[in-house]
Amino acid sequence: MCTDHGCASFIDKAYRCDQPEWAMPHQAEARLRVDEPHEDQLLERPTHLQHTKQPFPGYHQKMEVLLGITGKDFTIVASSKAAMRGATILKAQDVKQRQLNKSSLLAYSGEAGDTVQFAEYIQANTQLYSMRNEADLSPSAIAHFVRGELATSLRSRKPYNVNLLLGGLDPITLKPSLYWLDYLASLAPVPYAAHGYAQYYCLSILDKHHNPDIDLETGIKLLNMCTDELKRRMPIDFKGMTVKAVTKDGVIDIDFDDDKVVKSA
Amino acid sequence: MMKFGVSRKTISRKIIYVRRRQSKADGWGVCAGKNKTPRGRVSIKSNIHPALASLATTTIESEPQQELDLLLTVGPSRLIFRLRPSLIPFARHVSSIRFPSELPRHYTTTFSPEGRLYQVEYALEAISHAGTAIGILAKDGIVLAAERKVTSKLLEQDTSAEKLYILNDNMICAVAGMTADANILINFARQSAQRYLRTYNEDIPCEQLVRRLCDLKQGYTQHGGLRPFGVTFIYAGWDPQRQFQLYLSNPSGNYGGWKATSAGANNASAQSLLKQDYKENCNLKEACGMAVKVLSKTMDSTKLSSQKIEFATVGQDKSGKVYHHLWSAEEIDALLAEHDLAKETSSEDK
Repeated sequence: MCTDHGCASFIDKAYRCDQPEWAMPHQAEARLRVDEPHEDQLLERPTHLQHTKQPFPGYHQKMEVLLGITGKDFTIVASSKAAMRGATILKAQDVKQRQLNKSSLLAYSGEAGDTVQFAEYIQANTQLYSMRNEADLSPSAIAHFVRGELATSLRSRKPYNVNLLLGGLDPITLKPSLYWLDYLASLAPVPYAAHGYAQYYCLSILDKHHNPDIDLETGIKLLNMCTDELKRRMPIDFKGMTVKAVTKDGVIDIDFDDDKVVKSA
Repeated sequence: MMKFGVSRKTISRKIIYVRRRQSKADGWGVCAGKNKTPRGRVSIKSNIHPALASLATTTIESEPQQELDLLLTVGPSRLIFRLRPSLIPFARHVSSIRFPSELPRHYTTTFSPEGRLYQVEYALEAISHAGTAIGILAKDGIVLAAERKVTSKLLEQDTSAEKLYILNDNMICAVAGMTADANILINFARQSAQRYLRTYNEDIPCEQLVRRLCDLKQGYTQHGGLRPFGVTFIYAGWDPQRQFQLYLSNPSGNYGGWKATSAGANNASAQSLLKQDYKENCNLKEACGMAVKVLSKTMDSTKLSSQKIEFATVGQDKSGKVYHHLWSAEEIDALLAEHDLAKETSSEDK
């Protein structure tokens, strides 16, 4: 009941009341309440994404391991084999990678459905380009294309929640390259890279041991050091790594010892 | 009284009556002559610009019959129709005009009985009257040269590039044909190149840009009622995959890669001169010499001047960076003097 004027409205009383606004303190109050953002909303996510669902990677998504290492004539791309949902491992032989063309490889992690959907969308577009133009896109061109797509998606109603590593060899100069991309459409060309919690364990190792002139064998040794550290320190079992390398002969599978047991520190 | 103007060239009838359809309140019928059978449908723009009123020069020749609401009269190049004042309120609902199907509509893009597209051939014919343009591919660059048709002492030399245009950071082109048509295409090409650059952060490969333009040109030889672009382009460019490249495209939408090619007036004789003179592995300087020599032979006057020709090169500087360069009048004169083709300074200007 509208106490101020004795009119019959209750919930939307202010709007039914014929009195001018200055005579209706409760209406002014109601407006204030509507305009103020809820505290939780501010804490949870950036304002421009508040209308969308689940913008940040969950904890289990950060547990997925993506690693990339470049050397003098190759780029290694590695991804963990565990497909997770919450605390459960659904599959231990997952391959979180797609080959885009003869000389580039995309590894992905993030929200389960988004990752494959987005990676295959990029793969399809890259292959369409190759078919139309009888020439492959360079890794740099693909990386910028992907960044554009992610940036568009980020500003849509339902953005892709995908983090990516794009490794490859330039089809003309044969120079190896690696690009780090995340779901906020950041793009960075890097000599080595990791996504998720693996960053905290591996980047320091790579900082210490990596240099741009290493050969493939040394690259794999470095990768072993990284996975050993992950096994030693990370609280979950990521079920080993799928390892591929882009060389001048194309994309090659690399045998990687997943069964090695590393003692905890 | 309101009057409307619509451009329509191919109508032969003198008078077309239009009446409102009885069945539909917002539909209009077209009748030819006194025949009252409705053909096609007519609709009228809702907002007519007052300026159009002055276009209606023809008067109504006879009082239209009672049921006729609208009278169309045909001028030499446009169709004008007049609306009776009582109908102006109805006209606001109507938006375009459709003509009886018997009129030839798509003839620019339909095959003739001999299997030819005349409009495309006419476009090629138009180009063969335009100033000559030639392009020569050297091992370290490309030269484009073009004959300027509009020459006058009064013409501002610097501000009126007529035939050579920059498309993007590593591509230029020479135009033979209608410059106004070329402007549309060049604008399109520049946009395409920048769109590619924005998407991939790399310059568009030459052939892709050429193909994109040719797709547009092709469209005008197939889709209804429009004139093909009356332009032949010679493109010179560089990309990392195929290095220096020279392409030629014509109004039909065909294109090809060349070592040396020409377009425009006397294009056949220029082509045969190029065939004679072309040396594999010539350098850019030799190619420039060859270009002025060929131009001097194909153009009407033997003595050239910077007023009469335009010149541009694509090359690589010492650091390997690709440059393109539209030559200034002084540079062209210097080149002409070097090859002894320059007009004597004593002889008076045209």
